[in-house]
Amino acid sequence: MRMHAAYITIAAHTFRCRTDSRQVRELLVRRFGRGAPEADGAEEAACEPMRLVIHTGYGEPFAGYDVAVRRSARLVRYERRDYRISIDWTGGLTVIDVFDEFALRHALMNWYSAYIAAGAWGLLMHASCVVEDAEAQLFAGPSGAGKSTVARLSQPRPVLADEAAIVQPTDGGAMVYDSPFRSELEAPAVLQPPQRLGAIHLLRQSAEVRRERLARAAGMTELPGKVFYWAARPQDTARVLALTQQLVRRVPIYTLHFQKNDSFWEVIQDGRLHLA
Amino acid sequence: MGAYTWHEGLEEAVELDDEWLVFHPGRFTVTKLNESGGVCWDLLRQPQTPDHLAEELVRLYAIDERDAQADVSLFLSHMLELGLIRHAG
Repeated sequence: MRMHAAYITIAAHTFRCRTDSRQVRELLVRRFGRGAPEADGAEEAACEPMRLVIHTGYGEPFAGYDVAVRRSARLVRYERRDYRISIDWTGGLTVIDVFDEFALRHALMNWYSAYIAAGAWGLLMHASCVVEDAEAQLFAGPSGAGKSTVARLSQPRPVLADEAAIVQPTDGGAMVYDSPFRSELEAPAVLQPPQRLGAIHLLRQSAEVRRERLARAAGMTELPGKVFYWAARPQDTARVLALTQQLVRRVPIYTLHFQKNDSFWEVIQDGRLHLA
Repeated sequence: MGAYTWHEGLEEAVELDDEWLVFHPGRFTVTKLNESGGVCWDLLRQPQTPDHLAEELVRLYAIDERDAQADVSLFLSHMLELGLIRHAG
């Protein structure tokens, strides 16, 4: 079987990838921005040690979001009806078997969240992210809370994510990267640079527009539910909790009550003026 | 009466702005404790009977012994349900 190769880049990570499907390769290049690997040592050297192989023709159509997690001596496996992810952490190889493009998108999010947790690098969050004045504002919540709505209402401000935000805690605070995992809004053609995270807003649709600062302990009980993460190895879960704690200590968290218009930006901008 | 202690893999509570949080990596949960809950959690690093925990609360907070026992009983059953503590020995 002929395999098609590509490099894919997500945030600060580049992975060498092979797939049995030309269509999948084209999709990867379109969404994750890299083409065929050249015979170039520099490109290869910049790659993550984890290699990715994607096979098509697996399983059955999507029937629900539940993912089963299994561990053996060598592999960690995530299984859904329409995808299966097998991670050999020791050998540095992930095999993803998918039914269709929808399954592939979700499988890549599942896998990437595990990868950045294992490296204690960052978190994939149920959040949209919009930039204003060189500062990223995160809008977090479950399905239906209004994450994509907020991103849409905020245009023409740059949007780094509309459903899955990539957040990296740093010494001074946190950075948010341009996320290739988009649901409604297409990612811009040119990759946007990462931005410093100004605040995290927990969304509440409401008749009024206001925001309330959360105590850090309350933020710490709210945030884990806003992280894309399927608990597999306890050491990785401990890392996710530690990363979440870093975020809570360094970034303000608010409850944001908003209407279905962009008036919430006045509340955010007012808040920034008072802090300055 | 039996004793209780932390479940395997758990650690001391983390303090954030005078509130106490216990992380459970196995279940991916975060549990917030009040001050007396934080005291009990710290003691439960070693096996503790409910009576001894109640005595400590009486000593620290000058509360009624029966109130302390009721609080401890509720606390322990809640922590057991959350998988944060286990029967010791």
